[in-house]
Amino acid sequence: MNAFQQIIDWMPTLINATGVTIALSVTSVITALILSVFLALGKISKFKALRYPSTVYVFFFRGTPLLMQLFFIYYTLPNLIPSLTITSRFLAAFIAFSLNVAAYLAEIIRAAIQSIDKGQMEAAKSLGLSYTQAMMLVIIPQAYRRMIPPVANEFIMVLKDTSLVSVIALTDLTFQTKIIASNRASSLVYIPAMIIYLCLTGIFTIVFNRLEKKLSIYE
Amino acid sequence: MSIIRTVDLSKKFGTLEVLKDVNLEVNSKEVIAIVGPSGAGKSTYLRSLNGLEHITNGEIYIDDELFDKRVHGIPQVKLDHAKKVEMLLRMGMVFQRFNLFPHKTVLENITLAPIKVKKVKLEVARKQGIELLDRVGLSDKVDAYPSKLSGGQQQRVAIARALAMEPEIMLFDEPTSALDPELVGEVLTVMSDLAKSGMTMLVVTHEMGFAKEVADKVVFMCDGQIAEIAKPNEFFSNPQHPRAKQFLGSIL
Amino acid sequence: MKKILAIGLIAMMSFSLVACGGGSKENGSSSSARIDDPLNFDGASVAVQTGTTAANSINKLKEDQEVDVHEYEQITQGFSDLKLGRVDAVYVDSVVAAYYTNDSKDFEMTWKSDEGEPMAICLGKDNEALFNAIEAGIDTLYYDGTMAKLADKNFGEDFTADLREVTEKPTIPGGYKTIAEGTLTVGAEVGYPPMEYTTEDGKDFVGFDIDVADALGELLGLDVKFVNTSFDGIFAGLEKGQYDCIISAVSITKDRQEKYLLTKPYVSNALCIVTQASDK
Repeated sequence: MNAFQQIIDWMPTLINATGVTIALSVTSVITALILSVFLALGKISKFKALRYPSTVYVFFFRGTPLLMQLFFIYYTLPNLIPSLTITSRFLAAFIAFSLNVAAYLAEIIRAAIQSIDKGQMEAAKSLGLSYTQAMMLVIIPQAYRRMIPPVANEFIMVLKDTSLVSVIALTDLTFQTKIIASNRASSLVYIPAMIIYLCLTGIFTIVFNRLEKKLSIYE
Repeated sequence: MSIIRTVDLSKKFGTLEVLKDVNLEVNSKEVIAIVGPSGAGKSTYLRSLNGLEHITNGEIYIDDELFDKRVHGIPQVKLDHAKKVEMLLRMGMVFQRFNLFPHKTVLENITLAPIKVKKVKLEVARKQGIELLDRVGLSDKVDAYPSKLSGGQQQRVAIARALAMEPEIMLFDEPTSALDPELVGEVLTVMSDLAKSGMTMLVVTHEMGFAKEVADKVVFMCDGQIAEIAKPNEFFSNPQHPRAKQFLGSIL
Repeated sequence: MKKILAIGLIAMMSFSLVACGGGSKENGSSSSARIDDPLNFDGASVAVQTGTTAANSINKLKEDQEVDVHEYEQITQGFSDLKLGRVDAVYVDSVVAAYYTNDSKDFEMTWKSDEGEPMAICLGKDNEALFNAIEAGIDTLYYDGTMAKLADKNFGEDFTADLREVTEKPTIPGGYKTIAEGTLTVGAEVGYPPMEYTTEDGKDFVGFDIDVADALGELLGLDVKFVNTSFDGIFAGLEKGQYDCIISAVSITKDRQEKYLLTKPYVSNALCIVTQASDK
């Protein structure tokens, strides 16, 4: 009963921190999705001027730990170039996550686009559609549905990876849980925290499943 | 007047020469069947005509206008984009594996290009699309998705889709090869009707019956070259080229 | 699909706005008043390390004041933020404050509490023999003046003075056992200068606690091995028997005294406020 009361007492603080977790993962994944479409198209482009930068970008952001990218944006950059000092911790985390996740999503989108049968592009071209029209009207809409499971997977990873923001003193659900655990010397707090995480991943899994079903009507 | 004419057209994949100096003329309202053993370069030839494969050497004329000319793979003509698309659209293409857009309904498959490329109004495009579907006997499948159709039905939709761009000539790349035998007939019927209506057609096919009955000329290709061009009854009763004799002997 | 995208975009924009709005509020440097007392924290943003006495203390202060508290897993990052002006002050142990403010043009100490929470070495309740040996060992370090030397080396000022009066050379009792025979295994969170941190090349552990542990090992005839562990799990590690003792700037609190064996203080400590240097 006492333990239960404690958990109830912690809930408002935990839910507050959950807000940071949700806001950060949702905003950065959406931004990353937009960015990654361009990166993916760049990577499969026949023009070197587009292909090389996209390839280097993906190589860099997949090849270094997100934790260090976060550190770099928040601590290193301001020391090198003071005008790039980001005062908002959330903004710094949002930028780091968007840039990082975009690199992963770019690979997912590239794979999805390349998994579409070559005949689709040929049919589109033979009907006089331009490359851009063929991509936007024929290829990418089909790639959408194939992207959803890996994107959902990536999103849930991000949801949990947001715990990295503790290094820039941004209090997300994981860090808040640790704070409570150490300040009150109680490890009970991990129970409600894990339940919240499960609820979040559960809800988003349902959302993504619905979306996938909706986009599968033609199959 | 010729709709399509190729002069010394050749195509190499690396060092492999798949087309060697192919010269062919397709005249208006003519139906030409290209036959021959697999690997003869029939499909590559057809795909070269509308730019799905880039030729290595030779010239392609459409309506006696130079469409493409290359020497060692380097283009010798530079058409502006709009002109190129306009000339490309004088050819309609039907693929072996249909290549319908699976995320669009049957009608949307047909109206997509007229609306986006020719800027036809939606209502006009839909009306025309329904007429075309009626013509290929699928007016009841307007709102179905391709996955709900049989192979034969899908290929008929693909024919209607190509016709929607109002081409002068239809290119068929083995249109019945991917179909179950019992579905071949319905597609051939649509193609025969199309031929009777006066459409110019260039058909790569293994259906000798169709070639015999519908085609005005049979072109026999082997080893990347045209070995023989003849009227169907002459070709099938008295082939001249030894490879043609061998080929007909093996399939009849 | 378009609808979903549109909703997503709107959500993103509004979130970003909130984030930026939060940014301007978080931008601490706005408060011009000099922060020279915990009672003046009102309206300021203050860095503390999670799980430290400073964190506990400031969370109590929050009940009466509007303090924008930022908790850090490692206080070094708090000082990085102070230097960049992203927090107004760091609330921290005096040993750490001294390390950052001595010979520093960037920071100054604006306040130090009168009464402190001195630090002790911490052992499990059932480990009395080793506890007695360590206690006698610390006494010996006081007796022969080693402690003062180590303090001078690490702090530049003697935070160990007046803690212990040792007039006779102590004898170190035997009969103790350690987890690994012949080795004293020590738990510490390495990342809390000048108490325990790594050299610039990242290879070696240095600091006051490291020196004390080494000196104790020598006295007890044991090799010393450090287990680097995060502070919020450090006591759990002791309970699980991952190390013999914790020498990691552990403040003496009532809670801890009830649960563990704490030596008498070996280094004094008090809470301090560090801000950017005023002439900066």
